[in-house]
Amino acid sequence: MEPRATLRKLWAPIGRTLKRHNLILIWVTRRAITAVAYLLMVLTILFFIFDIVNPYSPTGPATCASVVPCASNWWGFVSSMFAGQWGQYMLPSGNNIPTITYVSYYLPYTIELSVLALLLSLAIAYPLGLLSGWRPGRYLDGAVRTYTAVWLFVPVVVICLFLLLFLYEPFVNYSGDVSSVFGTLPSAAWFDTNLGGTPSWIGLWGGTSPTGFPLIDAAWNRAWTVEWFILLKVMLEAAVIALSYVAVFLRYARNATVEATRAEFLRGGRARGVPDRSLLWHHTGRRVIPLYVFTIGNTFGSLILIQSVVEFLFDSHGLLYVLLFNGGAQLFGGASSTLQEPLMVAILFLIAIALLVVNIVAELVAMVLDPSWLSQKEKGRT
Amino acid sequence: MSGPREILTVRSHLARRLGSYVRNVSLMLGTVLLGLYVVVGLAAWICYSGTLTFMNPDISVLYGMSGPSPPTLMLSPFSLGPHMLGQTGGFGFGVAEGLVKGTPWDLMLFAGILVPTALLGLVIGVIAGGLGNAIDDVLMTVTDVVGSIPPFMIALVVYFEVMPNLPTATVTGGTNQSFLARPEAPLVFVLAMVLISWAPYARLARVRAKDIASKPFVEAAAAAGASKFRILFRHILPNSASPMFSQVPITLANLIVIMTILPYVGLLTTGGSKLILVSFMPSSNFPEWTWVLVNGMLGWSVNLGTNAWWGYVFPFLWILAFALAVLLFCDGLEEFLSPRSGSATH
Repeated sequence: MEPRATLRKLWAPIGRTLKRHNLILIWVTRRAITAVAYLLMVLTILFFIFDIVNPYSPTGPATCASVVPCASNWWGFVSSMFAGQWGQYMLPSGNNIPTITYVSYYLPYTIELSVLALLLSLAIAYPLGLLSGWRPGRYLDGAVRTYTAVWLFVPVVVICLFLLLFLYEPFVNYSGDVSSVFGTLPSAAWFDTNLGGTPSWIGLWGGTSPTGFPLIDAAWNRAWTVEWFILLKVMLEAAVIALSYVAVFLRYARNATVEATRAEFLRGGRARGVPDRSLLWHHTGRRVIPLYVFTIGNTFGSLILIQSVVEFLFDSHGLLYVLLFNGGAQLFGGASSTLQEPLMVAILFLIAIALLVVNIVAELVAMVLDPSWLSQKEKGRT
Repeated sequence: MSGPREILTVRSHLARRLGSYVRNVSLMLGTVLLGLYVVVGLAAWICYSGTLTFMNPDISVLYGMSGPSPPTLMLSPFSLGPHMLGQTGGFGFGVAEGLVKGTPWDLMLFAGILVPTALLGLVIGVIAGGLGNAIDDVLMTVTDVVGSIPPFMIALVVYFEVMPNLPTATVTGGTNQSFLARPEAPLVFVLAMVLISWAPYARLARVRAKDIASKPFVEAAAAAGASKFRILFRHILPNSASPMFSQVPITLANLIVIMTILPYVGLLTTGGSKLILVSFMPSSNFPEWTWVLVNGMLGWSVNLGTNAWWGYVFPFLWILAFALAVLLFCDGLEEFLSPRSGSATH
């Protein structure tokens, strides 16, 4: 038999199953293919740039094998990245530390910040989007659209620097030490004057125990002053992120809300005398949730971009700060900087995974909340 | 069929279209504002082009990395000449000079990214939506894959890893300066951005193309014997173009954030010791708006305070006005071109 006919014969039952309007199966298949292709493509780009354009082993394969996820071949690189063998990162002291360990000190803060920023953004965007979409063209809608349009183009850098400028003094006064304006935890000097030394739950490079999330750990250890200090900074950063992210988010979400307010059942409800408030907050409010969840997945890349700017400028104890800082250090050139590349590769890979996971979760949640969502997506409504 | 009747119809149609163009406030406003930028850009290109001259070429002095205390090299604004809007922090050059000389470069940079991105996305989306079936599946899977990679990630990798490795050449500037530059740098940045940002456009175009492909006039064209190619690019593509314009402002916003943060990171971490690396232009002597803004903001981070407000206020307003012009233009054009408004070119 010719290979083509064999292929067709093998494909036939799969094709029949797919054709039976089994959108979930189509979704899962496409998602699986896309996920694998996506991760491979990201790794290929990283491999191409970090190993071919700017190879990270100037001293030869021996160093390569001991220091970085060995990069001489594509498959070796890909498999070691998937296996979590992300090579070594050279500390300023000259010692090497496994990249994955180093990353684990910084990851919790980034997760904490993005979760808080996302919650804050939704708390702002959900009512604003609903109210503005409910009566398009009215004052509130005009205000929301103006805010979205202007804030979309205000570089986050400008907002961060303005805030830092005006909050510099209060922070210095509060902590009693200039260096503590930056970072997440109060500085060592602050701990020395106020608590008589750094407490034992704060470990290397500011990594906290037991969970690693500074907010949770401070509460766990009942260090309420520290908790207040951390909360202040995290909420400040989250607010800056939210202000910018809401602008991006609402640009997508507002139109979805306008669409949702034109549903037939709303007209029916109104005719039966259901009050407008109930129609807005109860009926439409519930109806737009899947769309909003899907939009989070869609715009998560923007959130990461904004967050990395904020983390960098506030000198946070986060992974995105490390990414930008080490990227900048890369520009110094020289032998030692090549050892920072495994760290950059690892963080970029983690970002790629985070995006993938958030997108899949967002689509799943949207599907669970609104069973007709998938068929609408297939028709291209969202 | 020809004759006076048809001519009359054509003319009145044109007049109607022109009328709806003029009555579209945001489109008109956007066109005028963008036109102003283009005029400034052309004028600068013809009679005021050239590179920037730095008053403070060794920027590491500013950070106290070498030399004594940071000098304050900021002239106050509202004098005449290239320092008309004051002087920036950082390298120290005239704000007005940087903004005006940068206009042609920035217009080319933004147009060079936004237009090909939208066109690429449009073509891919129209092919996917218009042809459907297996081609649609394959193209949309590719789109999903590319669309999941944030442009920011690629910009970062290009800025930190690729740009330092580009070949250098010695460039002679306007006032007999000569410095090292990487002539390919903007091109590499533009290419990378175009190749990574087209996915949202393709999604939007595909949705519209699917919708258009089921319209009677497309079936009529097919029945009249039009080829698949002709149907795709003559009938479906022009009618699928309008949603592209809703995505352009978001791409622009991301670009502005990327272009302000990465030079900032480069400057802060290297203290400007690698002068030619800190901008997306061939070298830092090449004028570029976001680069002027970054320099203006450097006054803060080295504790020169907000007194030198002109360093960031003017560039910020200049960039914001341009971005808003693009937004108004795109929103207006989307409304103007959407088939609902009756302009569909069948």
